[in-house]
Amino acid sequence: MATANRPQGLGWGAVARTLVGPPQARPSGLRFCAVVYLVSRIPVVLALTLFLVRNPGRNLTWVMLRQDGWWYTRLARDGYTGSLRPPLGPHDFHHRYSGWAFYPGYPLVIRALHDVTRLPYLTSALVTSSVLGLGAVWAVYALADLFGGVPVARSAALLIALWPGSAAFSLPYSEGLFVAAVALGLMFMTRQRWIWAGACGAIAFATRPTGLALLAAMAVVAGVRLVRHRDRRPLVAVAMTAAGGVGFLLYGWARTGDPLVWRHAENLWGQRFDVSQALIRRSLPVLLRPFAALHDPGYRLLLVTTLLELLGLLMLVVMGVALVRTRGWPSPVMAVYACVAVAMIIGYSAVAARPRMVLAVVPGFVWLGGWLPRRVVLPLAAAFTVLLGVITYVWSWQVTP
Amino acid sequence: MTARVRAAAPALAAATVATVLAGCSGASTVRAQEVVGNRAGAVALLVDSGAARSVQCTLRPFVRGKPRGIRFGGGSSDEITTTVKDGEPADVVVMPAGPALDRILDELARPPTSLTLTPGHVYWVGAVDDRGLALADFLSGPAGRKVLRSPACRPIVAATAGGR
Repeated sequence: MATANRPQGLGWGAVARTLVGPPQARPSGLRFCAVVYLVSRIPVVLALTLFLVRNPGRNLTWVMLRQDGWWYTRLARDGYTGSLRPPLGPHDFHHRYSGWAFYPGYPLVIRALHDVTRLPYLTSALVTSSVLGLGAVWAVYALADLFGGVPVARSAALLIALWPGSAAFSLPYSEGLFVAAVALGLMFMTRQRWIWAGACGAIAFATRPTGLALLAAMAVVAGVRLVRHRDRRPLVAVAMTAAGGVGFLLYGWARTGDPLVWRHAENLWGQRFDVSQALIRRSLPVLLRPFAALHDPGYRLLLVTTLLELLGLLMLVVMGVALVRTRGWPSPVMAVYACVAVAMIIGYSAVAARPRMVLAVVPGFVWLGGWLPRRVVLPLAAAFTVLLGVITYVWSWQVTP
Repeated sequence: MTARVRAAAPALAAATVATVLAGCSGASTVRAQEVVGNRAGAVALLVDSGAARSVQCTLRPFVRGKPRGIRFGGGSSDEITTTVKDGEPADVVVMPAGPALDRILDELARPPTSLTLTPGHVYWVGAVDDRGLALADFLSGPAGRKVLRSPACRPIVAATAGGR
């Protein structure tokens, strides 16, 4: 390995220090992020409270154990099944789907917290999400601070904490862990701390399939450094990141005998790479005649979902403008990550550009923080705050954020 | 040693790609395309070719007056099994006993029930998920048997049984 880069006359301890890097000072901004994060949770709590007050037959457990929350807590408790579909009662609709579509990173953290504290699984999931949500905001702050200093960091942290998709930080969802791992992975990659970058990459890729975007970004970095500097050290980060996702796929193969069990589970969830064709087919009639059938609950659900996806798409476009206006600033690696992540988001119609999916485009928030002046960021954050409450409410109702 | 490894690398890579591709391929799947009744939210029914015509004969009475229709597809048992295992649309399956059925037992919402077309021609009806329960109950229950014995279906069932 790159003897030219190995410190001459030193042992493996020195090599390890080169890979891992010296201990870094704690990134600043924790207090700012904590305040912003706590403030951003106010509309979430208010919306949940409002929903529960207006629906006396429902409780918090019912609200939280719906959709992905049910799967994550179940996976944390029981692990993955030997079959594609989980063994459930014949009338349980969950049998139509599969837990194999969910990566194990987040359920593992829930399980670890449960094992240590003996908290119930749902409580463990909510505590994990909440803490990791703060971690995600802080990690985005640290990433933006690296390139643009405190003003950019503050804007980026404010925008991601209040972006409506951040409702997922207060639900049993994996977004907090993923965003934190991606932001830290990009930061360590930029600082050339390959082991740390690889560790964060492994966590990200073991948490969501979008971790593939981080692998692509790391592969680009590794390729460039290999060609230009004959530096093979970034390959460690690439291998570690790949291990996070590939390890899950190999485990699935060993557990079920199907090497493509994740892909087949995605089929059950209707996730197909169609470059948003199905999304356009179902959205276009709604957009052309938005008030056509407001009396129909199914149509209202479709209308709200379509509007949320449009909001997400609009945000992606604005992020793209920010990327152009900042001329790829701060780093091409972030651009590679963002492009692959966006391609994965708009490539699949089933989830599309819902606000929580947009959270994965971490560099976009940094670009926005660097591009938008403060007089724009603050009103935008205020508008996001209102939307965050609205999205939390409709999520409690039926819509996935 | 390094030279040998370098020489073997392309072959190793090609073998890996071939293995992965082989793993990805396999038996083809069955697509339920023929629609009986209302298309919206139709239940996907996959039937072994040997029983396809007779089972198809029973569908129209089942969907009559129901909001959801049935999407019907026929194929070999192996193809049906692959379809279920691949997560492709399948709510109910009808197939004979054998290794193909055994492979999907843990994918079914409940254990399969028998469907006797004619004496000696027994198939198994399995609901893959809750959407297929009503149709599976119908096919293997007295209502389905009654339709199979009706003048409209009896000749088809007899011909199907004779054909196997």
